[in-house]
Amino acid sequence: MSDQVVPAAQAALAAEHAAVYGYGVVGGQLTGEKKAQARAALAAHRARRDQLVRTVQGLKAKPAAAAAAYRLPFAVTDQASAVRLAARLETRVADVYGDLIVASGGALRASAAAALREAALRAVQWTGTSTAFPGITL
Amino acid sequence: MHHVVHRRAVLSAAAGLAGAAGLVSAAGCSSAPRKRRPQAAADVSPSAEAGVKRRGAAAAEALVARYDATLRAHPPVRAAVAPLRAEAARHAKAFGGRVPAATASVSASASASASASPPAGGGTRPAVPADPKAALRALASQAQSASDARLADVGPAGPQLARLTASVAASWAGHAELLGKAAQ
Repeated sequence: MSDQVVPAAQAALAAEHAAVYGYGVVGGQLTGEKKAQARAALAAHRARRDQLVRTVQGLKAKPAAAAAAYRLPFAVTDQASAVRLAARLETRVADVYGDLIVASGGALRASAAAALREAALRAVQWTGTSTAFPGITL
Repeated sequence: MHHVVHRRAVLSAAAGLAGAAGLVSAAGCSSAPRKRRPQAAADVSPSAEAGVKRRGAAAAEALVARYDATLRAHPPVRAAVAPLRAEAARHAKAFGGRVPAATASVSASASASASASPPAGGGTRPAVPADPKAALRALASQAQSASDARLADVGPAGPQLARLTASVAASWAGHAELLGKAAQ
């Protein structure tokens, strides 16, 4: 089995960079309780991003850098589209952590599994709907 | 397996960065031989793998049994609980477990007839609080505990079973969230 842990960790890091960017956009369209929810999610993604930077460094690789800007999958112009983007971000982040679980073992896998659960839980909080197999795309 | 980390991006980088490949292009994908790293997926013993599967199946079957008992005792919670029950049944099957068919729409006589039917999962019938909100809170609590236990069990599994186990842990955390909300 080839060792995919570095590319998978880099992909997770890139996903966290994107989520941090995306929540900046999301937060701008929200108010009140939802804005607080977005702020908490942003803090969580920053923490995971920083953790992954250390992980990648620990694997003797150069951590993936954030892009200056990202293309959004749809225009975010109001609360509904902001919530939709937040849910999309979390779903995709969960998928990337699913890949990292497959590629890793030990403490890194445990951390990726916890991150997958956090992202999937936030997706549920945004959408109000459950998913049977978050982090697995068939 | 190189494709797995490349097949999607959370958001694509705006035009100009690394072309159309977008975000994940930054990950690189050297196929140069690498030596085994301590954080890489390790070889897994078949018995460890079987144990993770068995525990996952048992937990999912127990959760289905608890959902079914709650549905029998409190038909009005069906809208909140039935979709989660269906997911837990899929989880049980994914781990190689077995669950009874979902009960049809519960009628007014459901609780009477339910008490005569065998308990789901073959175990003792789970106790269900008489108050519907308390019953939902009890379900939320069981889903959360089951989620925590799955999350703690990703270590001994092989790569694909580890992802399944983490995914189910994540799904059940969502169940706990939604059940908690429904109990408010």
